[in-house]
Amino acid sequence: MPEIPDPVDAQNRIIVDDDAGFLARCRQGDTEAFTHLVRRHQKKMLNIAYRMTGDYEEACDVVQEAFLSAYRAIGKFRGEARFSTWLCGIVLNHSRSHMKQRVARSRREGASLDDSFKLGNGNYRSGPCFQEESVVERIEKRELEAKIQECIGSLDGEQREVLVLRDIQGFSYEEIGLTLKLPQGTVRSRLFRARNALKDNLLKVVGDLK
Amino acid sequence: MTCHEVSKLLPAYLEDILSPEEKKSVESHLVSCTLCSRALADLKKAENLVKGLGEVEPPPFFEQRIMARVREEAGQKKGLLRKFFYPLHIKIPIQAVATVLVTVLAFYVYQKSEPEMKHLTPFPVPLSEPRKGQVKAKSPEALIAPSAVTPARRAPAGDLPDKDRQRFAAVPPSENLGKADRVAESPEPKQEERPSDIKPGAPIMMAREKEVPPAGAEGLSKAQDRAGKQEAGKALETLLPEQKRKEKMADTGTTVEESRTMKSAPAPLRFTGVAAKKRSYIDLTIQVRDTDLAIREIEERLKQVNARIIERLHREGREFLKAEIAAQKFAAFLDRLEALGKVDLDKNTLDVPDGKVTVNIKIVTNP
Repeated sequence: MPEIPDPVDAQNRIIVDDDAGFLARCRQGDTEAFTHLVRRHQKKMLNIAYRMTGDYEEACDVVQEAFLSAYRAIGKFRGEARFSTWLCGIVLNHSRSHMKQRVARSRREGASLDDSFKLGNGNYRSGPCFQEESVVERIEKRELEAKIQECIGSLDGEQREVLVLRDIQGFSYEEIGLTLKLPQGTVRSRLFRARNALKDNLLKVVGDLK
Repeated sequence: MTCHEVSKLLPAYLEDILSPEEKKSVESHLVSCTLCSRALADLKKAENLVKGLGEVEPPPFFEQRIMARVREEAGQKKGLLRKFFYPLHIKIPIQAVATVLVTVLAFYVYQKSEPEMKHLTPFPVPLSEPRKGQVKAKSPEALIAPSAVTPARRAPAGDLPDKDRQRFAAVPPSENLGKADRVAESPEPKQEERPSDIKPGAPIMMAREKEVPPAGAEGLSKAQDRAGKQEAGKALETLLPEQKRKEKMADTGTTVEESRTMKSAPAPLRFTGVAAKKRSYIDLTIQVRDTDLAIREIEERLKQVNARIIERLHREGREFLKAEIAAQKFAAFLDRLEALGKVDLDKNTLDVPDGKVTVNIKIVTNP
């Protein structure tokens, strides 16, 4: 009987995890194996964190802390889900923690007039640009993305999570349920509410949706 | 179905997870309601917008930054393990501290023990407490006035001048035996109390003990200290009144000075180590019916214990025998002697297990 049981999902199906080999090496203290896991998942985790926090730098911090927490707790990971699912849950936890800290900080310091500019891409630059059409289009696209991100950020935290995981990251309902430890029905209803709310926000922010 | 209800079901309608009845109701409502149809279109557009959001790229060296922190974490864990299991970096200080501690401890112990050793060496080993009592009890009789002892009167040890012997002989032998016994049985006085207890004889005692510096003790040499009854006898005769001297002689039944030398309580304490190793002197008096017969018997018994007869004297109807006997055989000799008559013994406190004992036997006639 193997020391680590085969990961099974809620329906008792065997989960095939591509990361299992690296995980085994990590448990034996192989730090380099963890490098492979970081390399494989860093972008996805960064995008989740970015969509959750709306701030690129903060998302980077969240992901770093999440990987560090995962490394510390890797011995406790028993393979009930895929490593990516488990790691995503850690990223979401750190994102929540950062957002709470930000809210507390903004309450202390007062609302910043530049808050809206923080939403959007980390490399976002505001202001008019009259150089070339392609550049204008690029800027308009960035502005739109910034507004969409602003709308996502205005969602309730629980709705945002399911929306990000389902509509942006393409997680299955099952994976979302495992990550958030929620029944799939709850995930669906929460997601539908999130979509309606996002549509309403976008209509308010963007105006006519093209 | 109202627009509000339909708007809630629109996302599920898009997912196509509604029941057929709900789906029919929604579709029939959408045909008739432009607002809900537009809401459905906006919902699709919003979903497309969200799905069309571009991905952000990790910053340069993001992986390295993460792994740097991970390795730092792993290094700290290893560091902790090393601290617990391989504390080489703290071993050297521990060894140094241990060395210093041992050195200081050894020096301290040496310093503390040194004075004790110094203190112990001068004391004579063979001294024994129980005999002090005896000696103290009898010391008054044995003491000699030191101030009166003159060098001219001191005789070399081992020699008993005729004059002295005559005087010993003149002392009534059994006169004060009972008194001597009583004194011996009395509780042992403390050493500090001794001078007052032995007042009458204190000066004599001082004279015999060289270490004691009384007024008249300056003239006494070590040889005189070692000397037995000759020297002491002279002092006694010279310095004490005749009457007093007789009393003292009678108490012991023999030469008082010798008995003092052998058993004196203060003497052992004050003797040096050399003094303690001197030959012991034991005075004993035996009361017999027939003196001549007794002398022969005694000589016979002395031979039996391989004793060496030093001299035999006859003075004023009393016989004196002086013999040298091995200390180990003294007890056996004493047992044999007691078969001949009543023996009055003055034991010497200076037991020299491997040494010789000089025994002065006074034979008195007991009708």
